[in-house]
Amino acid sequence: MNEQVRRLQEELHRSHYVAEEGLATVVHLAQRLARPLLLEGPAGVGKTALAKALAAVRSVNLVRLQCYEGLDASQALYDWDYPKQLLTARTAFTDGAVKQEALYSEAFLIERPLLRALRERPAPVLLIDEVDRADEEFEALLLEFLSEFQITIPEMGTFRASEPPIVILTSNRTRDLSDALRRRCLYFWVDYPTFEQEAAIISLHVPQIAPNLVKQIVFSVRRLRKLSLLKPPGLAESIDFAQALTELGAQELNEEVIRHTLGCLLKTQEDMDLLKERGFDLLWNT
Amino acid sequence: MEHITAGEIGRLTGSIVRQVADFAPWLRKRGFRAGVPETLTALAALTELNLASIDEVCSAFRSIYARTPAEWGIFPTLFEQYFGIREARLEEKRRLQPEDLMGGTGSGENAERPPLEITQGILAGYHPNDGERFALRADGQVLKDVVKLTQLAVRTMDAPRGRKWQSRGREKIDLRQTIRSALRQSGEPFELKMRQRSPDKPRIVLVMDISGSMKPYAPFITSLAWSFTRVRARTQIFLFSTRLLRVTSLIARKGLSGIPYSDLPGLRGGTRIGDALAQLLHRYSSLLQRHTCVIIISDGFDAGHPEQMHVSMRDLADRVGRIVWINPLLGEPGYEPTSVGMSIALPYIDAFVDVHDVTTWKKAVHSGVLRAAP
Repeated sequence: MNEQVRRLQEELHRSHYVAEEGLATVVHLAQRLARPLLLEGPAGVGKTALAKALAAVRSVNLVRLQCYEGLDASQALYDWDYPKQLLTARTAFTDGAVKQEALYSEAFLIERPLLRALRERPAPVLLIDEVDRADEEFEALLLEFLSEFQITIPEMGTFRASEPPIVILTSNRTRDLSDALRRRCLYFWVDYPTFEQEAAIISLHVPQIAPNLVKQIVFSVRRLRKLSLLKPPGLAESIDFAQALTELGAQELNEEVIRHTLGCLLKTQEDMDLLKERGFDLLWNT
Repeated sequence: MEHITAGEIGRLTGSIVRQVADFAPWLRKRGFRAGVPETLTALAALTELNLASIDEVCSAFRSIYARTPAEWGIFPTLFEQYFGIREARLEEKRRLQPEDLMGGTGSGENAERPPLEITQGILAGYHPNDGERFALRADGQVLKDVVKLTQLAVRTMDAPRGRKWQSRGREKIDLRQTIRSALRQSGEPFELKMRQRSPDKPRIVLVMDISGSMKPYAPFITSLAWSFTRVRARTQIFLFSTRLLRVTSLIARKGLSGIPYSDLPGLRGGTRIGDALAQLLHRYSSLLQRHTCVIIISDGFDAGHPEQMHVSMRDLADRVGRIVWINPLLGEPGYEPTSVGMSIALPYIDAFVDVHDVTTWKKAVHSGVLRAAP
């Protein structure tokens, strides 16, 4: 393995993130080639956590843009401080010297996450989370930023990052992203971890848990994922489950423990009903 | 970035550069959209990698050339085929599956095989062309008319309330617009701008049956699906025969020239409407909301288990705002929707219409088929 990739893997591990070799390689490339990294995969496999861990590794800020339907430029890029502009305009009018261009200057500019990520030093890690939830129009808005690391404000000109931020986009695939967006990014499909990886992750986050119980947890969670659930448990749910079992002082899985902690794993009534139909012993019987 | 310096490329042998340069055209023949920018990125990546570790190179190239989960799954096999490092691993070929089956089960270890179901004793439906598959091709003649009609149809739909909508029963001042207007008048806010209702785009999920029995209507239906990608609506388009496949981007991009067989991996002959809808419910539940209008285009010949069809239709009707079933056979003289699949679905359908050409689509639009009942 490349020495730098191995070192990155270790640093991520120290930040409580277990990255397989392929993921560590692509994160290393994203940094070295200054390309955004698009992570896709099921919910709860650690896409957002990677950005947080990377920010910790680089000792820089994490700038997060949470996407949602209706997100537009004024919330993502920049906005103008309208009350301040109005006050200044009124004062200037009274003094008889109205200069409209002065109202569109740095003093009235409000930075939103993307502009902040361009201007902050040292360059932060920018997380554009759940980009599939935003509209297609917002994707088009991102293109200039992702390819050139610059933002054009019509009234002021173009801001370009001298030191580009590390950009991580995540998507749960509620809709297809455009080719134009995909072309500008490196791509990685983050899947559920293997048995060993998941056990290692749980042990990392809940160090006081017994190894035997970790194996039981991983086994039961993987069984659940094979059922046709509306919301299969992700890694976050596995860790919650492990923490809950530790809090309760459980030594092994049994019906009583499962009944009390099932809410950590399953998040809909339909899924709970399905498990009750199949029987709770599905989770610990081999 | 997509720039590589002579110094960097000088560290690579001519043979490596040539191989990488030829890799993109080779991938394009296999459906990848790889171009010069990808080649430059790959060469730049090679300067950062340990070339002795072929797995590392494969990982890096996978991130550069693959753009979708389906491409992500098939890439290692193609990489091995092209660079000839070792024999292709047969188990990797299982990854060439419809993207809906890739979600969450990408690794071979986790891959969940579709359950083998045997249905006996029920003749659910039969058509002489059952089992045949065909590539989709839009009818260019009718596209213009269809787009206009679809625009009209979407305008009549009930759209969810936008984010700016205030539901407190009184008007709110839109400070941003007021001040923008005031700045044009020396800072004097002469006119108060009020917040306006800004409806969101309607949400539509289009599910198209492409089994053999629907072949005669395919050109028009493809045109119809393409038209939905050109209007102001959040549209997702799915195909199904025995499985479900999301094709929104394919239809939007290739609707006119047609979608070849090779772009429709994993679809097999036959029709299992209930199974396909169950996959829609489980894999894409976030698309199915109170404001979603689901349009199913099928003749209702279902070869799956009737119980599955019943459960899927019931769950779908609970989840979404409106279900419209377009059945091209409805216009045929003497046709009665008595097949098992169709009769199970009927109680859960809000509108059941015949649409198979521009005239019938116009009639359906004018009758307000996509509009929810008051």
